[in-house]
Amino acid sequence: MTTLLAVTIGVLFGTGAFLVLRRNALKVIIGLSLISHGANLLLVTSGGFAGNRPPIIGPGGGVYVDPLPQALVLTAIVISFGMTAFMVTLLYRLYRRTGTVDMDQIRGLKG
Amino acid sequence: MILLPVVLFAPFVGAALTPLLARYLGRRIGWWAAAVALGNTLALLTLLPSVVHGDTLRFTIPWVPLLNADLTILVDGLSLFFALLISFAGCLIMAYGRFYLDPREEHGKFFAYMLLFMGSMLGVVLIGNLIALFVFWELTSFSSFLLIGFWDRREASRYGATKALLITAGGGMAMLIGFILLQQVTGSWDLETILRQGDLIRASSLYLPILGLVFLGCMTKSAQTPFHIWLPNAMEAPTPVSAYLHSATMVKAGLYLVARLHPALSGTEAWLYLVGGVGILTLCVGGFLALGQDDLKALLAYSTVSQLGLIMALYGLGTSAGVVAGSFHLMNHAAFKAGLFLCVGMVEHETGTRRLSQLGGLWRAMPWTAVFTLVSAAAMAGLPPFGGFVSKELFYGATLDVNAGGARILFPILAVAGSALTFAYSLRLVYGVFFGRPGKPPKHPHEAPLGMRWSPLILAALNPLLGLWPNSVGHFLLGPMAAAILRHGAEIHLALWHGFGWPLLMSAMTIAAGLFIYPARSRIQHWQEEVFSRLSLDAIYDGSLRVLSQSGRGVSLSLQSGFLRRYLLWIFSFLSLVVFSTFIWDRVSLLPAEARSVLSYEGILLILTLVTSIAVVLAPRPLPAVILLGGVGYLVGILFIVLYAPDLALTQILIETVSLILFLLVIYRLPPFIPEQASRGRLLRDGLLATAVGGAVAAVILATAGQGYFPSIAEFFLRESVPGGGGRNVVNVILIDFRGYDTLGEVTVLAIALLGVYTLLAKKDTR
Repeated sequence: MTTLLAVTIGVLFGTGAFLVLRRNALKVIIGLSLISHGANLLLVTSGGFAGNRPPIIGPGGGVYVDPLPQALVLTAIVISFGMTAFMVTLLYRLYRRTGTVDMDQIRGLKG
Repeated sequence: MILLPVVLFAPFVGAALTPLLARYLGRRIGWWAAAVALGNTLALLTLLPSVVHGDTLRFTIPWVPLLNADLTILVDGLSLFFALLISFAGCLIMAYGRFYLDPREEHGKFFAYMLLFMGSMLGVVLIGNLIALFVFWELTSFSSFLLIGFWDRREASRYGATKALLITAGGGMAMLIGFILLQQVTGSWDLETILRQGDLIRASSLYLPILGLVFLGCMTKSAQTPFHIWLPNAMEAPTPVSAYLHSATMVKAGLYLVARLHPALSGTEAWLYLVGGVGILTLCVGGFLALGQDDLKALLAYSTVSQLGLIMALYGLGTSAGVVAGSFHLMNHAAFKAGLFLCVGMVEHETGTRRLSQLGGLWRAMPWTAVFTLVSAAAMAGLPPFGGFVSKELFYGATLDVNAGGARILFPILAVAGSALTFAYSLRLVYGVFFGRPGKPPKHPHEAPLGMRWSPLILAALNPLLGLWPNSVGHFLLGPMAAAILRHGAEIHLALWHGFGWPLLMSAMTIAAGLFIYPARSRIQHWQEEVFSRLSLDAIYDGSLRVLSQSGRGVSLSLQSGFLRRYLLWIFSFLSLVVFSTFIWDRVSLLPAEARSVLSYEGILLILTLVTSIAVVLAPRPLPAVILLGGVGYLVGILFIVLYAPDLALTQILIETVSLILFLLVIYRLPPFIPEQASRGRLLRDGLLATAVGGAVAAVILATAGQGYFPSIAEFFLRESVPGGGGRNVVNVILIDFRGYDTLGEVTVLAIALLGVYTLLAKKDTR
């Protein structure tokens, strides 16, 4: 389980990294989304795999999983959504204004 | 002793108040600064009796207990002498500066800087902790920078200020490393603790690096060859600054540190050849260069270099006679050199020039200045009955005592040569300005105003006092100072008349040689100008600075290119390199700690996620790419369920839906993917780098998952959730209760992002 999960997270980071290195700004945004998915999963797995029930207090046996990474990730999901939304709108605006989504061309623009 | 911190911090408080008070006092602000310095002097004098008695006064302020670093203010014979020198010279020079500065200049700024410097310098000599000492040391470099560059409209001032800062702060960096090594060896930042462990330090394998690095700091600060080149350029400062910082106090900080660390570092051959050798070399080089100067302040600057070299050489001998002679000459030098600077300042003030070629025969117009200069220069040349004579005889005596191979012959010879040069340039200074043919100065010369004459008078009067009554100085100042340096009492026999012997013979030889060199001064000057126009240390400094700034520009242009891609390339390569090299270096096992078999639906889910994310990369058009990205998001949401995180799953699926809608709204208005004109090589490079990043992350997970390197604090949240937070869903309780402020911050971020989105959409197109 851990091995497969590690590989999956690695692939999320790898594909994300490949995309943020592209010139098309939309690909960069998509790449960042992939990386944040990977990062969120990474944080959750950092809590370990010892638990076998969700951290909701109630009767019954079993070990609760670590609630702290989950709380952190919940925040991270929302924040990365805020970031994505802002960047997508910025991209849209930039394209309307300049007619390009090419990172290299955008860099040379002023004013 | 509450007085100690008061003395240390009074100048800083005074400096902070100066700009405010300058509004009301105007040009009289100089008196305020001088009064602060006078108050400090008097306060320090009250400490003198107990220090003469042999006490060491301490005041400890707890600072960083974790590093075992307390701020200790330490007053013994050595630090008290320096503190007195700093405060007393400060008082005289600031009173003089009030007349020297033009009424139109910014007096408030000037005296605020002066007091800032005074406080920093007091810190250097009074602090008994290496780190704090370093901080004050750098503060003196900094305030010296401000003061040299006081006339900041002048190109030469800015150049001189930068040069002084770069060289002294560069040496300071080396010194800091030396201090850190010293702490490694002795286990303490506390000066007194370190000084007690001299044998341990000398036996350590780090002894030579420590000595070299710390001495590099002292060399740059005290303008020892080849780092003396900053001092002549620092003469662009107003003359009171030159007198105070660049002759009486700051340039002696290096000497102070050499003296202070004497018990810890001295007594080896390395010490003799490094400290003593550099010192005696500097004595000769400085003297030779001084003789060839036309500018009076440059002459004094090189003469300061030379005299500092003399004192350094004496401390470098490592003998008790050397320490006594060096300390006594330090006092003499402070008196005659500060006096000479003030006299040159008066000459410049009244004639409008300080070029020897434009001056001459001034003794009629400026009799007082002539007398002060004559007395101070005679003390510098080492003539009786002034203090300089006594210390030169001690110097000769100490060099004759050297007992190590070639140094035994070389030191006395170089000592006489250096002193002969001193005699020659002292003669040139006095004769060239006040006697001989009258020059053609820009202004008609007359005597300086009375207020300006007081400080040079007091300083010049010290010279015969030091020469005629050396033993009272020996009792009150020199004895405690030498005892503090040597850590044991020193026998001090000071007298103007030492009887016939080698030192007297050497003095006679000095005067004869000096008179022999003196007529050659013009030829030496031409020769120096000829040589230095082609080859000089300054050219090396300028050249290396140019190379440094150009290569710096090159590096920053290649790193800070403004292309996101380039930054990421560096970050990704570095990340993978660090992870992989650590793993290989430490042979980290990649076998996960917990073996848990994969359930079939988990495996399918994970493989689906994996495949989808690869598909995102391969998608040919924006629409499928975005839809596949949404697919990854939903799959991650489901994975959260498998990982026992229902809240995350809910949030993820909700958020993913909203994101997807947003993407879809925008996507139709964006252009299709243009096939990139990326070369095969670039694609391959990016692919490899991406694989490396993914591999690094996977490796970290495999190596760390479930290792439990440190205990989780989950127990606390699980226990306290119901009684403390009143909720069964622990994740929710953490978010809204235990870590409520974090959530508030998160909401704020979202609100800001929302505002940004709104602004971007609401703004009318202007294209």
